[in-house]
Amino acid sequence: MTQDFDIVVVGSGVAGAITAYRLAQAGARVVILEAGSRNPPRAQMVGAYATAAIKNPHSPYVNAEADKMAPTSDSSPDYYDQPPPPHTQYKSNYERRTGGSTWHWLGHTPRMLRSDFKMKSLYGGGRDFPADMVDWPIDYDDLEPWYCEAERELGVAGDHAQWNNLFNSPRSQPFPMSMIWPSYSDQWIAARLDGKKFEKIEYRVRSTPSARNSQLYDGRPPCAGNSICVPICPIGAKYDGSVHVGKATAAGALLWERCVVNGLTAGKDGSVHAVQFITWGGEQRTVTARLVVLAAHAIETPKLLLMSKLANKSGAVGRYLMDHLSKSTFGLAPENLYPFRGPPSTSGIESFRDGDFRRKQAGFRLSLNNDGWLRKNAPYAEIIDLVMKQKKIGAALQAGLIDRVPRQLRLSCSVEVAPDFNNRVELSTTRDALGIPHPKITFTPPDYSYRGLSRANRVMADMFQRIQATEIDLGTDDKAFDGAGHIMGTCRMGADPKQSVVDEELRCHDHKNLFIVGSSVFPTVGSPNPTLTVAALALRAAKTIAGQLGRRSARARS
Amino acid sequence: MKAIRSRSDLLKLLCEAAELEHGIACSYLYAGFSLKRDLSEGGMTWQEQQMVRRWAAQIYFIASQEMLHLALVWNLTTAIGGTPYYLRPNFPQDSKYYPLNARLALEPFGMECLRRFIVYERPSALNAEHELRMLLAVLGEDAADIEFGSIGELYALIESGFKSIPHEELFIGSPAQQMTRDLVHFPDLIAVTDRDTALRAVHTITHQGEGTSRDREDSHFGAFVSILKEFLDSKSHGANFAPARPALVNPYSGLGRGYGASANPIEQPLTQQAAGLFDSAYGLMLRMLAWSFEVENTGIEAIVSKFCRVAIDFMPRVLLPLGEGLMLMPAGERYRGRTAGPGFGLTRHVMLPAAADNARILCQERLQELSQIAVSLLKQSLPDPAKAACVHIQQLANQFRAEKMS
Amino acid sequence: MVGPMNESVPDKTLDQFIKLSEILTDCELDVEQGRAHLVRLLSTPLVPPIQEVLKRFERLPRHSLAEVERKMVSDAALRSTLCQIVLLWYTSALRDTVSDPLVLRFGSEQTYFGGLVWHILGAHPPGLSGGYFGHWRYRPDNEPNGTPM
Repeated sequence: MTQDFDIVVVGSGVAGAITAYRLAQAGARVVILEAGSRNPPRAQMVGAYATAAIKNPHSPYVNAEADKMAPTSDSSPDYYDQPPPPHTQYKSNYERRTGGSTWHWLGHTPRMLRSDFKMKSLYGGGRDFPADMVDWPIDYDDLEPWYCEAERELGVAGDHAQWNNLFNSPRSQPFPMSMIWPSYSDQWIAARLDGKKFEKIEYRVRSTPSARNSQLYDGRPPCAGNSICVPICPIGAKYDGSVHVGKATAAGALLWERCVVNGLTAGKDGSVHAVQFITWGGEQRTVTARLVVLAAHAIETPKLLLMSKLANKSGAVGRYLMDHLSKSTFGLAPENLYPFRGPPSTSGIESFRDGDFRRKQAGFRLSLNNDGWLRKNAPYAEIIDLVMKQKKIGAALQAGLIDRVPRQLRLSCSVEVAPDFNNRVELSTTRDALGIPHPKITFTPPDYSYRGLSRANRVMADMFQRIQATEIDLGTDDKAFDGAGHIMGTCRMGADPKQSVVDEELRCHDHKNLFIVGSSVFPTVGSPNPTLTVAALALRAAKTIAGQLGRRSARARS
Repeated sequence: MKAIRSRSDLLKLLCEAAELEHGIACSYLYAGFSLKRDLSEGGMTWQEQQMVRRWAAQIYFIASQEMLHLALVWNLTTAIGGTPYYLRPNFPQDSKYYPLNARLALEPFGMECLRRFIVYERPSALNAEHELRMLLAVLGEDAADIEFGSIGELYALIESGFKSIPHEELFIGSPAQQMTRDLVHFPDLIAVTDRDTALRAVHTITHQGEGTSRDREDSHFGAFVSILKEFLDSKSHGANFAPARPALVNPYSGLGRGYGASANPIEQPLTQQAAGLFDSAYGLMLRMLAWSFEVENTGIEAIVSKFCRVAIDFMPRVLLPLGEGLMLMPAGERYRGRTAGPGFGLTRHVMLPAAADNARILCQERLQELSQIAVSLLKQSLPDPAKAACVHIQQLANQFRAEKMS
Repeated sequence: MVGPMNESVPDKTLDQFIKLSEILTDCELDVEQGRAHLVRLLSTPLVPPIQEVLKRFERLPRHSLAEVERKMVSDAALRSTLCQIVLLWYTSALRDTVSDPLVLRFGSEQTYFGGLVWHILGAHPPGLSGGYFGHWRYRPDNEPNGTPM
């Protein structure tokens, strides 16, 4: 039976857009269904940010209609149906707009480490090791060439010498662009930290690889230090999914926006050919395709599968929801560091990401940040304090600001969350404006990760002490964390169909023409930001899908 | 194309390339300095300011790549036994001077300026000749007047020299002279030690400048075309849009000798002194950098590193703010409201001596002199960027003196 | 954005406002930004209202820093609105004095990108380019005044 298209891709974020682009390039007839709408021109969104009362990640993208029709926790604080505090809250958000969540990502693109793919084999067996921690069905070497390709596609700037062979994870290609320069603050800190040790682990500040142009690349300018990567790059120096949406449509893919997929139907043989969607106008429609790719990020993808009652013989759909535990700490350096310049973070410390300690506790990345005490309302709070409490105006006010604000520093960590069967996405009974269930979320970080968080807190305290910072603020609760914006797990990859949703080629075990791309397929997460791994897996999957399509074409013709 | 078969010919071409990259970098910097920063300068809405700051960042980036090209040319020069050439004729430069057939001038950002930049970076094999002529014809120029020559042709000649002169004879420079990316802040800098690295260096230059047909949009040429298109578009929308400061064309501080006849002497005394300080700082920076590129590093790495660090710091901390500051200062009564700008004037001076101790003494003394001038300028009313530059000169002078040399 | 943008304010009021603001901020101020700020202050319920603050300023024997400090900043009843004036010029934000934690309301894009605090700190308004690629690796060229090396 003739299908409308070769491929339907659900979701136009980085995973869906890259996949659609590669398949369209290979000659497939592709349609991308995007629940959200297209963003207005960049300059307009920068204006929205400038005037926004709360300059959060969603502030440039606020749109009443889009927020209602394609809601997320970014736009609607009560979108997640989860038990209220004191229960731990799942705090990470995403965007449902053309181009997806990379509109407001920071842009960091470290790779997973070799060990991250084989956690159970390397570190498992002990009492403190999480029971649900598994190996990936692929390893670092399988993905390495795809990492190189992903770095070219996104446009990644980094320093090869610093990163080659980090924790036995080699790089076969140089970075496409030389690194984003470390900030003055990074260099000042590095001069005081590099070579020192915490519990025998050596500090070393490294420039963070980023999908941020350090030169003219792919028709986009080099970074000019607008400093609002989160929530939006005013000039397009930071990669966002709209780059590949543009490439996909230029290669012939169709993009249907404001089309919220609300069902998939499988035939008797298990193939999923029909994709149901509802438009913002309320029209229910169906489109058919030979293959379907789900790329709706790690909350909406499992939600769709649960609504459709598909791909879940394993019971793993929606399970093993993960994130990174993020924690910010603050201190006042003895000298000026000049925050509020450059990207919000340009360097980090990778030393605590791997090691034997992972038998008992989570590893983590550390970031050096260039945004001072913005999260504590600097410089607004300082202005108010100086005038109201210290009664300073004029030159004395300026002197007071200059004395403090340029010395303000934020450090942060990103701690691996181990998979836990009970952390999950389900369907809520609450429905949105289009009648689609909200996600019901259950999430409690495992103790393994809390132990990692605790150690990260102690490391950050040590770092502040070594640089002789004062007014050190580590928060009051050792277990407090923020969402990192890294929603992962929920449709995990595995060799065993009884324990996983997709195979190593990202094909659903239960439906051979249904693929899932994006961070929902991660069985474990390590501590790097996930997007580069997402892009690498998507490029790899696109090749598989093109091959599968091609074989079917050949058979059909014969 | 004439084949280049002698070291002497190749060195002369490299000097020409050095002059060209250097002159073009100054021209780009001048345009960058002229772009307004703050809304309080007038002539920009906030949206236009976003665009203007993006243009400035792009132009500065391209200027920094020209400086990288100069560094590559210096490495190519020393690799074959030459010494880094840092002189250039003062502005303006006659259009017949180079194969470009375009003037090298200092002028504030605008259509004429962009037109020149596009011509400088024009690829030697450009298929869209017609499109480019149409674009430039919008400026009201008779497009037939524009004779296209290309920097690419100059580098093609240089490349032929590196290919045809026997390798064993050619690379007589010491590898220890080569400037590396650790010492100067150019991650793409290549140490030239043989034919392969020499050709890579040449390709880096031409690729960044004109690009290849596949990725032209990422070349300087592509970037300037895109800025010009945006500028033409913005002019049609915002009648009051005035992105550039009203700076002079081809100013000179009048404190030296040997300038082109069509240069404009700055007449306001304070501005003149500030412009003179710019030229002096610029000249010293060049000599320090050239010295760093020329000496063999062995045994004196710390000294070379010190020279490089201070010289490189001059760029963002002295020349940039002082250049911008000059464009906020009056040029003189006869210029009716126009502001000045840095002339990048080079005057007669010795190269720094090979002996590191003596080089250090000369630099330290000169830095102290500049520091004194800065101190006296600070007693008068200067715009903020110029003030900052003067403070930074003192800091750099103190830093140079304080740090140990061994 | 609060209040009508093109509402005219009496020149004398604007003049007083600019004079007071110059003392409070120790900056050279742009009159058009001042007009926008004053329009906003006039249409925001402040305690005390901006009109009262300007009247007090007008009545000072001298419009000097010392007088403003002695007679106005020292007065707890006035300080909140003086703080709002500073916040407006420095950041384009007004704070909601009733709420805790801090709630800010920003003005127009034009006033946001004209905010003065960022230059004071050696930075730039977040969202506007700070300069050329890599400038953040060096100390700012508009370094905060009086900073030792």
